[in-house]
Amino acid sequence: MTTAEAVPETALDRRRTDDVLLEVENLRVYYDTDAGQVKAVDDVSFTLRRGERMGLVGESGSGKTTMAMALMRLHKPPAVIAGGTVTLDGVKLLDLNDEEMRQTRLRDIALVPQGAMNSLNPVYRVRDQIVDGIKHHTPKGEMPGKEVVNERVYELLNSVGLDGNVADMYPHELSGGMKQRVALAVATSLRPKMILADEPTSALDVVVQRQIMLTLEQLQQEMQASVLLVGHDMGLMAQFADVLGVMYAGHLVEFAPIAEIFEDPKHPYTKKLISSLPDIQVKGTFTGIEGLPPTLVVPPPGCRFHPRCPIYNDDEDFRGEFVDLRGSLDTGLCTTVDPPLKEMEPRRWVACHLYEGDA
Amino acid sequence: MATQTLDRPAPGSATDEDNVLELKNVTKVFGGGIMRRNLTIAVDNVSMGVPKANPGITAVAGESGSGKTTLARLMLGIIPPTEGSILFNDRDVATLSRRERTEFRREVQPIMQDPFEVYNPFYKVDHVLMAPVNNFGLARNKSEARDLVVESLETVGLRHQETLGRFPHQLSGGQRQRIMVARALLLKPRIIVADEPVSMVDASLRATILGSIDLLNKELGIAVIYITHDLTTAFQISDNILVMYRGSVVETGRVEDVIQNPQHPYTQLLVESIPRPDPKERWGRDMASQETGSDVSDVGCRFAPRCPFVMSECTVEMPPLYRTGDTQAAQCYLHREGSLGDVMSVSDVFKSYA
Ligand SMILES: Nc1ncnc2c1ncn2[C@@H]1O[C@H](COP(=O)(O)OP(=O)(O)OP(=O)(O)O)[C@@H](O)[C@H]1O
Ligand code: SF4
Ligand SMILES: [Mg+2]
Repeated sequence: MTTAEAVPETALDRRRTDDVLLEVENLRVYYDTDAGQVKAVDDVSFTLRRGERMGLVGESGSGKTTMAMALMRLHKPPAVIAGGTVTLDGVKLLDLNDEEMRQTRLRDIALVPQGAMNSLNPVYRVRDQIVDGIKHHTPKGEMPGKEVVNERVYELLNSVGLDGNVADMYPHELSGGMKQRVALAVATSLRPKMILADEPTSALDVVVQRQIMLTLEQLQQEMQASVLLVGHDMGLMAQFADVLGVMYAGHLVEFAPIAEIFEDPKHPYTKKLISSLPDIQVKGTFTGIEGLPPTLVVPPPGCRFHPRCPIYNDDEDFRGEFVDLRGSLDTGLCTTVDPPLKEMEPRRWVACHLYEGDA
Repeated sequence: MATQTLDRPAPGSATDEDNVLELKNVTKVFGGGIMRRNLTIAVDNVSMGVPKANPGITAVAGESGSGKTTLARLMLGIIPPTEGSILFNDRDVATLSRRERTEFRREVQPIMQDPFEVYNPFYKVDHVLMAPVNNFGLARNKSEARDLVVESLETVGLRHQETLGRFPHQLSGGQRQRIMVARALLLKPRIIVADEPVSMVDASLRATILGSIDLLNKELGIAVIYITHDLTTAFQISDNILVMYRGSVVETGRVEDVIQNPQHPYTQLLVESIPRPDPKERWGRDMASQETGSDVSDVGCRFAPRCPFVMSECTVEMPPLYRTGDTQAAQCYLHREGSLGDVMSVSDVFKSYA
């Protein structure tokens, strides 16, 4: 072919353009409370590619769980989706009726909830927990026969590294790690395109954590599913994620490939996060980010981070690093204009006035 | 051996008067009934003391189900031991008078792990914080009580406007956890037993909360038992560590030594599995020592089914805690040769470098 349009695409180009699995646009999730509206997720947008693993971190209360639950439409009142769209493989999830959404869950998008280990029903054997999940999300008349289902149960248990005999056990007979594996088996039973996992390993020791995360990675790669992993452990994110989203006070403030987040964090909050990571080589002092997280009912004007921002407040520790940038920062903007999330380079999004000119 | 004649009480001997709280050969077994296979030995023959002077911070590390939370509940007097005894100021906690019991309740304060369960869902957050202020008479009047509460909330990074007046389910997981920390701060007790106080907060806030716990220890001399599965923060904040596996203390000693030079195969595996915050250094793919569901052992070393170095004696009898160095001890037959003696109470190891 000779026409300009027919320049052969590389695999990378194709991924870049076509392979968006999840697209979240201007999502808002609010809680209606007596004290006012808690804007837990406020105007969040990002895209996730097929087969990609995204981590989502952010301060406690910044809206991570609220967002994950809303993506599944499992948010509970007084939470309401106040705006935005969620598109999964071309399907607008927020437009589906309840029955359609129920069919979509587990089949297309599945959740490993926060504290999943305790989400198993104590009076059901493992087999029944898995079969129930399959039944509940399979259209009437499409449920395969008993033998096929049992076969699938063993297959699933094996895929998460458990023996078949675990099928006949009750949750209390399993260790925390084994329960978490069962939760993974349930979540992947219908081979979803997208797996959401909210702090799936926060109660487990690191040995089991590594095994669970490697198992999740294996399943995800085998199914070519995308993963959204919500958590706090930057170590875990470094090990698992391809891209990382950082939330602060209901906003997504940074989104970038994981290596770039560690090498060159852009947003001052991310900077602080990276610089306060402890290790096991030297005992240091504990320095968190000064000040309180903001209220989500009446967020600070302008940039929500400005009351605690080391750049805006000209924090000594950061002077060296940011001296040039700060020189060109219009600090007046920080207190008056909420910085929008802007793409600085492909797949590098930041919401901060420091980079105003660069976008 | 010389080290055996150290100031260590013989097993089962009189109590150690330097300790404010002492666990003597404490075992806790759950379940039972007719079926023996339903028995769970949650804590298996643990002895340790919390000294009155310079108590330090002691981490208890281990996976979920290793007995950490049970150990915490025993220390707090929430559940009685099946065997052994727990002493508070040399008095058995099981037989305290009413007055002594009130004192015990005030002096040994929990920061419990599961923020989803500890709260009565029908009480507002205010109750969780006001109740101790009222019960222990910490304030002279209402406004002073409120000031105390507001101050303690701010110490843990919570805004009272958004916390007071709310029900527990209206807060995020990490926010609920911090209420528990604020509650303990209010009471300024002798001992704080903190069960995973920061498992659900971000790195920056974790630093802030651990910093305030550290301050309580250094400034007010409050002993802290820091229960966690996170070895990095254990290393950062503690002086001593106990590593638990299925109810037993498998390794103990000075935290720097245990974490930088682990002697028990389980601790070695733990340290190696810490997720390093560096995407260029991804962890190995090796899935060795994975639990598959058919590896439960109730004789010998509990770790034997997963241990890469397992020997025949390991599956016959539980090894003792061998002192592997001046500041460290490991419950593993690999250290029988060259051991400096058996350790009866883990605090004896701590004493050698305190
Ligand atoms: N039912 C509710 N009613 C009112 N506000 C709520 C409710 N549930 C959560 N919130 C508020 O919404 C905000 C976001 O909460 P969310 O649970 O999404 O945070 P998170 O980022 O997952 O936090 P964590 O890391 O602590 O789990 C918080 O300020 C929280 O107090
Ligand atoms: S916009 Fe201003 S206040 Fe906000 S993070 Fe950037 S520099 Fe700091
Ligand atoms: Mg959450």
